[in-house]
Amino acid sequence: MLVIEDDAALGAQLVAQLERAGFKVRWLRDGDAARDVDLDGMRLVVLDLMLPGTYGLDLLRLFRGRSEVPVLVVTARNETADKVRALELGADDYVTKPFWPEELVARVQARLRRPTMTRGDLLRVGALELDVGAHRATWEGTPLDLTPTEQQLLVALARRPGAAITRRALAEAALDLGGERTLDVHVSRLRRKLPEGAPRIVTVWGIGYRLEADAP
Amino acid sequence: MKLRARAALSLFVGLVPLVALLVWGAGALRARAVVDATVDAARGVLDDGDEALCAADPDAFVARVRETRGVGFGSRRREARRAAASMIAMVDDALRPVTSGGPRLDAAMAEALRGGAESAVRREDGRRGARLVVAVRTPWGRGRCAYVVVARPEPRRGQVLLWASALGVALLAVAIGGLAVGPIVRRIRALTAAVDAEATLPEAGHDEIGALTRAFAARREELRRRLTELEARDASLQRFVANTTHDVMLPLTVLHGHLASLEESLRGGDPQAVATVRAAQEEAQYLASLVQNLGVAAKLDAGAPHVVLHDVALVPLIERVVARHARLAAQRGLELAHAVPEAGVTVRGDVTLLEQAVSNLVHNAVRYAEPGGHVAVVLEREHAGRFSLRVLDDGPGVPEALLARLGERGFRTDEARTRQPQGTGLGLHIARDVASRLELTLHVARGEERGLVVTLAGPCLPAPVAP
Repeated sequence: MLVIEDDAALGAQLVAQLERAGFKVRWLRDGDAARDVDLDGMRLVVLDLMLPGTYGLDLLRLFRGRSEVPVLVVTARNETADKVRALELGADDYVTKPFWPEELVARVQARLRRPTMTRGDLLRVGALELDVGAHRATWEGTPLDLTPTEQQLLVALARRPGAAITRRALAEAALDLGGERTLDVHVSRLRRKLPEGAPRIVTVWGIGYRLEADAP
Repeated sequence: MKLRARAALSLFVGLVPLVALLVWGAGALRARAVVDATVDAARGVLDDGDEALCAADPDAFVARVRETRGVGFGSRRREARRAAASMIAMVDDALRPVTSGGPRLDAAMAEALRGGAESAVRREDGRRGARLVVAVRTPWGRGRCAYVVVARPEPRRGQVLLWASALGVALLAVAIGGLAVGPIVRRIRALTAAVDAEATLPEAGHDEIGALTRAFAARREELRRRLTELEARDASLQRFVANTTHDVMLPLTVLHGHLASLEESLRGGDPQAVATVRAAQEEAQYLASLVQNLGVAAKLDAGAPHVVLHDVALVPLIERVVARHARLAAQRGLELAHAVPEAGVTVRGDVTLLEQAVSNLVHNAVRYAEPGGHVAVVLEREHAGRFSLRVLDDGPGVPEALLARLGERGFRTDEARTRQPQGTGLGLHIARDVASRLELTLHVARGEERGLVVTLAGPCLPAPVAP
């Protein structure tokens, strides 16, 4: 991972935060030095746009001409024109100063996160496997005895493990009749059918439910 | 009314009475001349020696006058004399007619003559036109032939001709007036068009329109100069705000980092110190939000060039806002969750303004929720190409009566939300301003059981077709 930041204090912090999150970080303090940097093997670039805006944008244009590496832009001016320009030039995302360490790490991880493993009609969350086409669910290879509604609910949740899904979206995905009122009944039955150690269905206040990907 | 029509009308209105007066005056003068000529002619048909002839036999005398006299000089005078000779009668000094036939005196004429007048006149309208009857005292003025009475037809055609030509003159004057206004109207129109189109002003002459043109040109120059000045000032102010924001945000980011690692190193240590660090983090976040809000307020006030419309993806925007408030929520023991549609939602807007508006809503919800409470951010695609973004909390909420006033600048529901009385009003007010600038709606309502639901809604771009 490459960090290009001219401010010494902030640069040191960025490096420390990203290293704590488990990344190997190279830090360049000089924009000119960054011009010829080798981007091969870099998973992501954190680029400060700096104040005379075009400088950071120049680097971005230069990088885009050479590589597909994701670029996360850090901006302090909070000017829409800068952000739009950066996104147009191929930046993948941006973070506005000031930010908490976890904000930057969250954006980096969101950028590096691979899409949910899907092979054809197969969804997999941990050892839970859902065959969407065949309407079949297995846990560690053991088939689960689910009604069609429960199966559809589980599929809707497993499409985006860890993300909260609204009651409305779940009802639209799985329920033909009865609407949101019968949703809780179906969910509680489904919960009972999921074996110990399988991903859990967590209630999210104000929203609906979430499939907890990494069960403790 | 158009200038041309107005000029024609005022010319017409002004000229008609004038022409009427002139025609009337000319007619009166002419009538007077006819009367004078007729009186002269009546006198002229008699000679001094006629007294005895007339007294002897008035009818024979009159017959002879008709035959022998009636020749004069000068057209009008001759005509009058001939006419006078053709219709003549004599009257005695008691005003009784002494000839058979011929014109007669009427009572008014008799009265005038009896009163000592040298002559009397009357007009009479007959079937064959008007005629003038004139009675004149004879040179001797006594006996049987004391007065001579003559009649002559009064010419009328002249009067009609006079009126007709007068009307003609008036109409001609109006037409010429209209034509004369033409170039003025054209120049004023050209000036108007040039001013409207901000084009080069037409050539200025040395008349009033030229002065008007020059006045316009001078004011326009002045306006342009002031506008340029204002724009330059505005640009430098915006630059100053942007630079200051940058200068403040950099150390503030570093401060965030220090506070975060300080809290980490204190974990499990002195609870008092942990509480202090957390309070410091809240203040740092509040400070950052305040500076961002001021920047957004400046953008909103400055208007168009600083509000950039582009396609804004709401899902990463919500993720950024939620990540920004995750620390504060965790410290306060809140559950902060969000839900977004799988396909994402894109709206037309300004990402900085929108992000700050959503950030304000979430910040308020997080600040006012009670420990152990919940805050949810829900983005949904509605029917007919619209989206809704709801920020819900189960905090203390606000009384119904205060809901409507929540968006007013600087307004704070001190009664209901006294725990953290700083800055709610500005944040919500800015969210409302952003919504109205981006043509979105912002609705504040009570939650189903408690707390608040703030809904930002508006049109969104069509969902991408699933691959």
